Amino acid sequence: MSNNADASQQSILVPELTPRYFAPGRRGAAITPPEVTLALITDEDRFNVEARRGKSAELIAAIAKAFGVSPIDRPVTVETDGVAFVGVGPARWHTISRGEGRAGRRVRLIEAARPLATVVDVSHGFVTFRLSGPKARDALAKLAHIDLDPASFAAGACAGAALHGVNVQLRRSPDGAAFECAAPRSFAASVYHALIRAADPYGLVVESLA
Amino acid sequence: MLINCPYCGLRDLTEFVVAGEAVARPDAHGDLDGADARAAFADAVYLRENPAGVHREHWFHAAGCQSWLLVERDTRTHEIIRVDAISAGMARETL
Ligand SMILES: [Zn+2]
Repeated sequence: MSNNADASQQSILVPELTPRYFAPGRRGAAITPPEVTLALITDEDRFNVEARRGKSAELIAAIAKAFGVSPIDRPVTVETDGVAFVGVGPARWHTISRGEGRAGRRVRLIEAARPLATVVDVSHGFVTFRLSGPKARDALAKLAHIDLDPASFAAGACAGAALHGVNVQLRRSPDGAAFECAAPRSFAASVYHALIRAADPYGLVVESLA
Repeated sequence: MLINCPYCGLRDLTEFVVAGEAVARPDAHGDLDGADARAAFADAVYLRENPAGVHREHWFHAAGCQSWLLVERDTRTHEIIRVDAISAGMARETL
């Protein structure tokens, strides 16, 4: 383990966060173009932010001041450039920060939230897969217990839910086009293989997003 | 059976863990070795009403939002009458 002072600067984390089972390439049925794309998201910081007792409204206001958007205390995603606040439980959010500028956002989040909440970096605890393409929902529906129809799982919706017997953080992108599934790292190999099998009949591309 | 979690909405029974009848923890102040305290803890730990009818139970939304819930349910029909999230400020009597 490196004890580098730059550990909070993005790309240093990428190699160690790419699971060894992850194999980019074309898979499944010979359908052109393939109808599902499974991407590994590697440029992600993820924080569990839980308001201290009775401090939920103050926390939301503090985050609004720091980031310009107010997290909502329901299972929905609120997004602004590079950062998303995803409701995962009462007075609790996953703050997901991606791409350039993560180090700065990390500092901003901690400064805004820590007086009012516990802030835990859970980046290493999860592996995040994104499923997109016209058959992404069909593939996912084989493994999920919840109804993924847009009528009940709309754009921006999120859910802690069982997927292939693993408790994952599932969400639909705010534009509705993709599903993201954050699986606990030690269960993620199983989820990955289940997703690949579920998408097999539709043709599948596996890729890494950095 | 579906349980309407106040945070997550309608979810399948398999996402939840049931912790049995909702029993308030006895007062843990004072002489815990006294006869009254022992009787109260024995009651809370071991004795259950087990009614044929309306029952109040603790459920945990393990695969979802990880809230503890107070579920009022009819043990004869499995009809779920009411679901409340248990909050820190909830009065002991309501448990
Ligand atoms: Zn729930």
